[in-house]
Amino acid sequence: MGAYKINIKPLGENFLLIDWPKEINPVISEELLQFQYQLQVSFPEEIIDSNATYASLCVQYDSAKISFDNFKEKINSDYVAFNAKAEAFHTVWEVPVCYDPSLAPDLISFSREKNMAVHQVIALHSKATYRIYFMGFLPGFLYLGGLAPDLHHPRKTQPRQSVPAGAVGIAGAQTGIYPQASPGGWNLIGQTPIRLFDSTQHPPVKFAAGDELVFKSIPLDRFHEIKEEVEKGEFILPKKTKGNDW
Amino acid sequence: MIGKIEFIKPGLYSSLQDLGRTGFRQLAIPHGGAMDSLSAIRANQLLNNPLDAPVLEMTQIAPTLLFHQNCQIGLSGAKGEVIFNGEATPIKRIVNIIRGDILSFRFSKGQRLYLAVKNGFDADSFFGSCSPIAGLQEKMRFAKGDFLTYEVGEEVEEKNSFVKPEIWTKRIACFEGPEFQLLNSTQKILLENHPFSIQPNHTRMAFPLNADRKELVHEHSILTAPVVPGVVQLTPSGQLIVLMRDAQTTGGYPRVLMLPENSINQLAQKRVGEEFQWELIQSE
Repeated sequence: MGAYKINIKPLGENFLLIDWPKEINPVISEELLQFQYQLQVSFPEEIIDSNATYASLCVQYDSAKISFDNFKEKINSDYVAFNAKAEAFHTVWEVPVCYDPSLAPDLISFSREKNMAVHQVIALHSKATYRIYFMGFLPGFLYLGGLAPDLHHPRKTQPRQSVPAGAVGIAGAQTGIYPQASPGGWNLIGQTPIRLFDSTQHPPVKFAAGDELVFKSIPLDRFHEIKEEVEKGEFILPKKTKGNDW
Repeated sequence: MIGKIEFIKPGLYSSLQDLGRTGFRQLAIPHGGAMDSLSAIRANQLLNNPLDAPVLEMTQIAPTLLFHQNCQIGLSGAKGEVIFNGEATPIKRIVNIIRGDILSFRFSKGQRLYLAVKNGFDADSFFGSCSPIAGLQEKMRFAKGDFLTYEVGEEVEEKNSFVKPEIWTKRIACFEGPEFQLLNSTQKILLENHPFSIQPNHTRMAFPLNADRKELVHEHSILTAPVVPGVVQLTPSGQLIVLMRDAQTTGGYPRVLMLPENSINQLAQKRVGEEFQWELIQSE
């Protein structure tokens, strides 16, 4: 039996939402992702597409094959019979980030505003293990949980016209990586040489919701080396299975 | 034989579209597809094409097209005139083109016209659809000197019978959205009775609506949640934003309304400043 009270409601003619208690909570997220997988296995004909957020699962379904009321009932009874696994398989990724001020236009002002030394900001940011809750906003943009409260900081009052792909930023209680160049108001404290979204690769995004991620601080020369390796398709992103050693 | 159509002038925003992609929401890849999917389907139906064959979507100001081969085109969507080698005549549903013809269009009603050729245009599929994705593809629309290509097919007879759901309406049907109940009664009444219209800064991702009613200002925020084309968000400053075909997959503003498919099509044909009202209908 699922551990929460879920609420299923229609979103237009072809979508439905399954809502868990509205919290950023790894236990809820884990159950939701496992239930999403279970539904895809149970209803391969009915489900067209789906995406998860922190506490909500959006399912696009074929309303010619199943009505909302009928589907709602089936999902509810699936949930009653459902048990999330405590130890699911997940990958931990090590993402290289260069915190050199030449690639981190807000790092010095950010440190000053937080009353911290630059190296303390870097140490705190690259010490944590972050959970990938889901992707949203832009193709390949990861919603990460686990930013140290000391690094929480409001977004910039004047957004930049263009933030480069790979920029690592902080906004509110979130840290994230821009997968493509785009306008943005995040405080930019570093940059990764890897590609988050690579349409030439299958799948185009290596990461999956439920995986974890750590940032590894690298010097500027290593940043350029990796960038070259990435362009040649030679860079292999370090990873391990959750629970194992590196 | 390969047919070619050349863009002598690109128009305001001309792009190849089909009915969009599914299966990639998880990666935050938007759905995409023709803004008025019904008119795109009709343009294909006229030529007995697969309903999701790639069609040319022309927006507000139509391109000027030079046809390098004989060709039959199907047209559906905006009303107005076709400028055929410099001469204006009403837009017909099927037009037979002779090599060397130059065509453009002037819209008197609606915003988007769809042009189909037999069997559809040649197009690269990107994650299951030819519709360009902002951020992942540099080429979002056609420029002067670009070409459309197609495999020249057989001509078809014009048909007169096909279904025409209402596109031209001042009352646009909508459902309550997931956060509709966050609204107070004044706001609910206002949503149903206030005339709304699209602001000039509209894109294929979103249509911001006029925001001149202080009553709609609010302080609700929601945990980032899924959104789909047709979701209508209400920002804290009281502005309604209708998410259209290229919308993101998640959002953080209250989702106060949700549009059925044909309402999205109706809205895709509304001009900036053209007033309409929401008509709340009950979900099934």
